Amino acid sequence: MNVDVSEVELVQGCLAGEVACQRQFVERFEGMIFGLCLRMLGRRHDAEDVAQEVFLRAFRNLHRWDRERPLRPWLLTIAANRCRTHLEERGRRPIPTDLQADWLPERRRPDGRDDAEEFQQALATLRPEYQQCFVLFYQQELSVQEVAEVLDCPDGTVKTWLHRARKEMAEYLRKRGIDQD
Amino acid sequence: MTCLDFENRVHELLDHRQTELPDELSAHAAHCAACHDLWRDLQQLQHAVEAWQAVSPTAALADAVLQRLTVEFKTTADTQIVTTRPACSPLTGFMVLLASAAALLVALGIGWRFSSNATYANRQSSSATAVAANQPATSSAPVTDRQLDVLLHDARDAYVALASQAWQEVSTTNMLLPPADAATPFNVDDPAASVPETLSRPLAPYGRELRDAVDSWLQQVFQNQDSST
Repeated sequence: MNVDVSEVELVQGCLAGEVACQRQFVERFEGMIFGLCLRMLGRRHDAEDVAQEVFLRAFRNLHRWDRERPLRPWLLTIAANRCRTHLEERGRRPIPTDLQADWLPERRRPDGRDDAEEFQQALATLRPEYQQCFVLFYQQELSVQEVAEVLDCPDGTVKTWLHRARKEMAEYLRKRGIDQD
Repeated sequence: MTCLDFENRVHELLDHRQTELPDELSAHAAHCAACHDLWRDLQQLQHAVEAWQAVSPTAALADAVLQRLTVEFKTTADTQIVTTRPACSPLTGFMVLLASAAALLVALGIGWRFSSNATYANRQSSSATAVAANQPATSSAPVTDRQLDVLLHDARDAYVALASQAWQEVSTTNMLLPPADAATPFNVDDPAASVPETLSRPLAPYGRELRDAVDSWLQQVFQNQDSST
């Protein structure tokens, strides 16, 4: 199987049960899916579990994918829904201190805080829909229209959520002194 | 331009991933401290986002997914095989039983119908006249083949029953009657004078006529039955 096969050919191979295509499918999109899950859930272990669930659900429903539309937003929709379900199951409880941001790097500021940790903590303070909107827009670099398609809501709603997420994130980081560097 | 206008314009720019303020907005931020601080905070956020490190899963993620996928498909296939028979619900079983019973009844009905037609097809023409003569002409409704078969059945049973009963009567009577060529053993004018006790008094005077009549009637009955069968 050619490495640069198109998405349609890749999906056809997966539907035919070709293990090589299934592996290539996972390897092609695992960074995107895992990144969204990790930003949303904050824990590497949870993110990997949910990412596996996302791929399993994708394989189960691959025959429903509309070949006229790009595959990436379709996968992100599954991932966003799974993350939302996981957060609801978690009861939106705050992440335990000892489990917070276990994926973050060891590089820390002199005062013991890490920019990435602060950033992730700021993200965790947002409402789930703001988080999804922010992560999809900035990390996955989707347009407002694509975010609206993934989240199945109007463009105006996405803009509103994105504006509020930016404002709350900026305010949180300012209060935490991130902008002092 | 108001501060609200400035904020909305800034967010629209960021929605389109533009990071430079137009001159109009820069002029407003230059003399508005609140809008200047807002723009500064948003720029810091933009820098933090750009520094957002790419994360990658463990190398075993693909293996884990493929392993779960294999187990799931295998489990699904096994489950489908195992649940083939239990998948039949009680309602389905009842419907199958009902359909079987209905099919059996239909088969029996068809078989009985063909059997009836084959058995009584020849009799319909020969016995139709006699049956019609025995049936009261009160009903003006047309008689169906099915009703005609039932009537032929009843008529046949009635003939056989009558013949059997008559034969028993004749047998009993013959035992009591004297031979046809024998002289009358009693005096008709005075029956009580010399009638043997073994003879039936009421039948004794009419022995020959009775026997001839019964024989004639039985011959007619048997002829009708032979022609019908």
